[in-house]
Amino acid sequence: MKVIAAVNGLVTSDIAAFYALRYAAFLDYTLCLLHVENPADSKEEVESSMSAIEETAEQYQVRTERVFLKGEPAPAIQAHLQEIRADILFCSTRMRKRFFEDSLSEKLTRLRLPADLAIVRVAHMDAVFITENILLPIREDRLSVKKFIFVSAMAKALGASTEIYSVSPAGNRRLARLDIGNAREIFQKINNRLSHYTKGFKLMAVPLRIKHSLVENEVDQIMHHLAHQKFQLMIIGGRRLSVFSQLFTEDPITRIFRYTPVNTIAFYARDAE
Amino acid sequence: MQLFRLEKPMLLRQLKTSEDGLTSSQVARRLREFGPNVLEKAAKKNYLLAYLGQYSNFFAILLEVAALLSFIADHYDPEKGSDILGYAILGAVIINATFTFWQEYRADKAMEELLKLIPTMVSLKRDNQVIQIKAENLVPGDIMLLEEGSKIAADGVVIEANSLYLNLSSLNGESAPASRSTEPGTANRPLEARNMVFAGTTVVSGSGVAVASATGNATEFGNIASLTKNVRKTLTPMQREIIHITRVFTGIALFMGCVFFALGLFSGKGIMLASIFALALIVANVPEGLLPTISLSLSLASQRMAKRNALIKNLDSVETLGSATVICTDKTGTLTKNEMTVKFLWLAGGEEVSVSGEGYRTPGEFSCDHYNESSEHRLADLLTAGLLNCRATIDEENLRGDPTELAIVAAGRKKGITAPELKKVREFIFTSERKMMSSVYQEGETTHLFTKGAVEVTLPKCATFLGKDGKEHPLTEATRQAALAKADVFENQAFRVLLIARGTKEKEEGLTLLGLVAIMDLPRSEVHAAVASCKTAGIRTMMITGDNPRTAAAIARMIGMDFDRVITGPELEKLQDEELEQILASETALFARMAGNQKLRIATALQNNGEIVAMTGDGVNDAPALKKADIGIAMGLSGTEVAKEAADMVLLDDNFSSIVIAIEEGRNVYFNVKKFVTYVLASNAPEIVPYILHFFLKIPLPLSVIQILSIDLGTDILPGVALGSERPEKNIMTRPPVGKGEKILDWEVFKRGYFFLGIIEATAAMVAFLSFLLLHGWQYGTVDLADPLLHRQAMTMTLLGAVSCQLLNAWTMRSWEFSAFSVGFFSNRMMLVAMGVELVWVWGLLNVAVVQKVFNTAHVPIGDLWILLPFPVLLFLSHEGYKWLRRSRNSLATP
Repeated sequence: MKVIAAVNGLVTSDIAAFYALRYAAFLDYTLCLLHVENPADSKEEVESSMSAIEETAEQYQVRTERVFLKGEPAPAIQAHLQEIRADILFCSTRMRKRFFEDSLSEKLTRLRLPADLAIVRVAHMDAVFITENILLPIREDRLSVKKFIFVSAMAKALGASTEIYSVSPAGNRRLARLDIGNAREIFQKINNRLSHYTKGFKLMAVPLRIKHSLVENEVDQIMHHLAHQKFQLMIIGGRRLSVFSQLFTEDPITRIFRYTPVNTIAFYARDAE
Repeated sequence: MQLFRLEKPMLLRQLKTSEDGLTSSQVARRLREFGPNVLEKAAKKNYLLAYLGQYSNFFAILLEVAALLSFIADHYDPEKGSDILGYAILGAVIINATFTFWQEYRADKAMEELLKLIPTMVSLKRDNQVIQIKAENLVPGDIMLLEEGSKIAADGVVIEANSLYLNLSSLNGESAPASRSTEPGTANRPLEARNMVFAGTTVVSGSGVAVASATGNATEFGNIASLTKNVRKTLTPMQREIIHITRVFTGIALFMGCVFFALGLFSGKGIMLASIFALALIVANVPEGLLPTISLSLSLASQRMAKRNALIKNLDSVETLGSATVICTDKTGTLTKNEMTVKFLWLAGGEEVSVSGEGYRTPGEFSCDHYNESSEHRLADLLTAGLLNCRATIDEENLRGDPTELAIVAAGRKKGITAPELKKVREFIFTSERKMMSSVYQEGETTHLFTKGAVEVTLPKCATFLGKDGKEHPLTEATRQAALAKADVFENQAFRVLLIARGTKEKEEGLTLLGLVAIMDLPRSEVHAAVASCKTAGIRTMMITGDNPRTAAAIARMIGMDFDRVITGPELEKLQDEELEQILASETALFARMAGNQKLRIATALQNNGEIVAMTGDGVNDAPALKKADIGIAMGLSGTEVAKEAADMVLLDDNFSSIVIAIEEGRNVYFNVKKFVTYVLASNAPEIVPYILHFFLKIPLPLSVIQILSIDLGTDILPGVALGSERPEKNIMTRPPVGKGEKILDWEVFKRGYFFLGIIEATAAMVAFLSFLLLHGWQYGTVDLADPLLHRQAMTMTLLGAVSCQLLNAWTMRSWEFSAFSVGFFSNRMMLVAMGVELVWVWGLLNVAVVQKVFNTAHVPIGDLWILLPFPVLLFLSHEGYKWLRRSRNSLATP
């Protein structure tokens, strides 16, 4: 099984590759450094980045291989993934100013890929080396098995503790009705529904905390929580939005990626076979 | 590894940059990768949408439907003037929406003030050239050039430093300059690393070069901005109450409207009549004037509070203050005077000198048990050494400098000592790491060095001491121990102790110990009473200070502030949120050595325990906690603009006692709102009962819908506002905080308003209506009167029955628990004005043709008005009796 890291010679792609490296090291997979040749990237920088990553991979005893593709990047990557047995593709993304920028990472999120996809937004260049706390924000109790597996593996790979931050949307009127007792009851129910995941984290010896919040604006609350606590990585669940739907609604992930103060991975589970 | 732990070559490699700076093409790509170096601004409020939103709450929708029904009725039967009613109801909706919008929305300028701390232009090195660019174009890996006075635009790691000192107060609240070096940090966090520079801070002195490591929201300053912007307060008790009240009234109105609509249909009255009935009952049940009255009342209260040094920025906060259960307060300047005073001196010869007079300008005396001529000289030497090593100055108008130094200058003035004119050649500045400072003077060939600093740091640098004989002797172990013991005694009494020494070299070594000064920022005289008042009012007070635990505890004891335990910043850091919540649920803690950002955790933990938190703050880093607290209180004199903008209330005199006064006013507002809700409810009954009786009995319609509106939006408003300005009742600060398990619209309010006072008013209205008709020849069973004037006169009597009762209801409602006679006839001038206006209005209803036309009233002969007289008196006496019974029962229940 392979873990793929898309490398283009930029600092952010190096850091995404380091996350891929730690993940591959934990699962004992081969790390495949992939580059789609194009005139915008300097081949020299790409090779220098790959060398640095390979150097670090040796320390972690991770097997590496280089793959250079040609052609339109997104279809080329899709075609390549269909040929091999890949577990996940790590790809960095740039700061998105507009709601639709048509970057490679955006194109990948819209494709049907035979592997999971981790889009990495880098805010801190050193965070990958010192990840102590990972934040996993979810809406109420919505946590898929695939996302749980990815998060727990990342936590284990980076030696970090995890905090599930369950955010329950609530309007003003609902907030006015709830007292502390009601809120605690709601949170307890969510905890109960997440109990099998709690056990999972415990079995994997990953320290876990669950925190809750009842809020009007989920993204603002997550940003506030990030600034308040000390996290080095946030993992969020990605949704595949069509170009059409993006015209009408701003994907919360776009907003999070625009303003996140910590490194953030949006996880897109592979399409069901 | 973290960037600040890396040696320069590794650091540059990691960031893919060089000492010559990034190349233009690298910059362009990084700008795309990381985005511009800007902080996320708060999304601009759409005020138009917010205003329009006020038209979509339950109250508004109900009244809008009522207005629509009126216009439909007018379309089918234009003669009845239902269109006027429709416009009147729409007017009520607009008034309500406008007042609520005015109360809820205000511009949030905290972010704007924060952004002012970030420079617009920065000096960088790119392509091996020094350039000035817009700060927003700075990217990670850029080489930042730091000069004295410059603001820093991004977080970075120092690679060159030349006596570089930063002011980090925007991040940690510490105003003392922090030195920066190129040594790779060993700390765990960037904020603790001495080779890091941060966005939003300034270079106090020196120069340096740093590599940008984080920009925009990823910086430490971005964290504070994010916390300030994204903090959303929970609903205030008043907002909860308004939602509750709206829901209850809407429910009752809809229920009664539907029931009477159905009854009308089934009894064969026809859809039109049934609709009008339903409409009338909805309008009668909705207290249209309630929201404007609350807004006006809060606004007036905020004006009263401003006169008492508490400037309210957010109207809802007025009432929230009354619900406060915990006050988290700073120490310096709030509980204390923020004027350091030298209270004791210890001379190295062994004498202890006490100094009287508090503050910087108060005169004082020096007294000592074994005072002699030598003591006098040595005391003068000590004070002169202190004065020559101070930058602070005190003149007639201004105080300049650090408070500790001001205390030494003030002590010198008390003794009448002035510093000799010498040429200062060098200064070793004070930093939190060095904990000492020295000044070097040259007098001809002689070098003089004067030092002051923490005892544990400065004493080891002393080789001699000035003995009782006025001569220098080698520092013996006994003298060293004596100095340490004395310092310990002073510190145990919460004094800040400084050792004063002098030398003859340009080095801080081989010094002569002159003595110690014990300095304290004394508590404000009025604070002790204010803290006691909080205790009786059931409010916990917690001190949060950056000072050491010993000083904090000593000051707390001096002012009578109870605490079960002291929690320090590092201890708090180790506590999980749940543990902190548990501790704060059962114990009152005193927080010492706190960093500004820890206040936010304390506020959150207390709120999670259901407390209503008032929190003081003055620094930039206090802004998130001020926003999070239910009541953020900024210091008007010493506070930063960021703190003032983030707060709900600004204390104009920085005084803790003003908070307690504001809480009293807040509680008063709560009870005043309760009074006028009861007052308004009482007038609902005479609006509803006539329709019910008209429906079930064979009598003419006693009251028109427009007359109902004339009560709700006319005669009730001014007395309601006057009740909102009523003075605090005498037990206001001896009862537990309001709102805890208590609602404005509770059963007691319903009972008094609807079922007690309301029934008396309804009886008055109906007796007036029916008696007038009977006196003028009406016979029971005649529903449609032949004489329209008689009908209008009778309806006027119903209206006057309700209004006259409301006149005395307002007077008796002036006190919730005590006799109306105990509050003083002239103590609320607004009430007198309201009464005057009411009487003029009543005269208008009876005599002014335009008013009569709009409100469907008519002149009633004075000989018939006697019918109205007994009921207001009956209502007044009944309510006074009710209160008396409640007082008697409560006094029996209280052991």
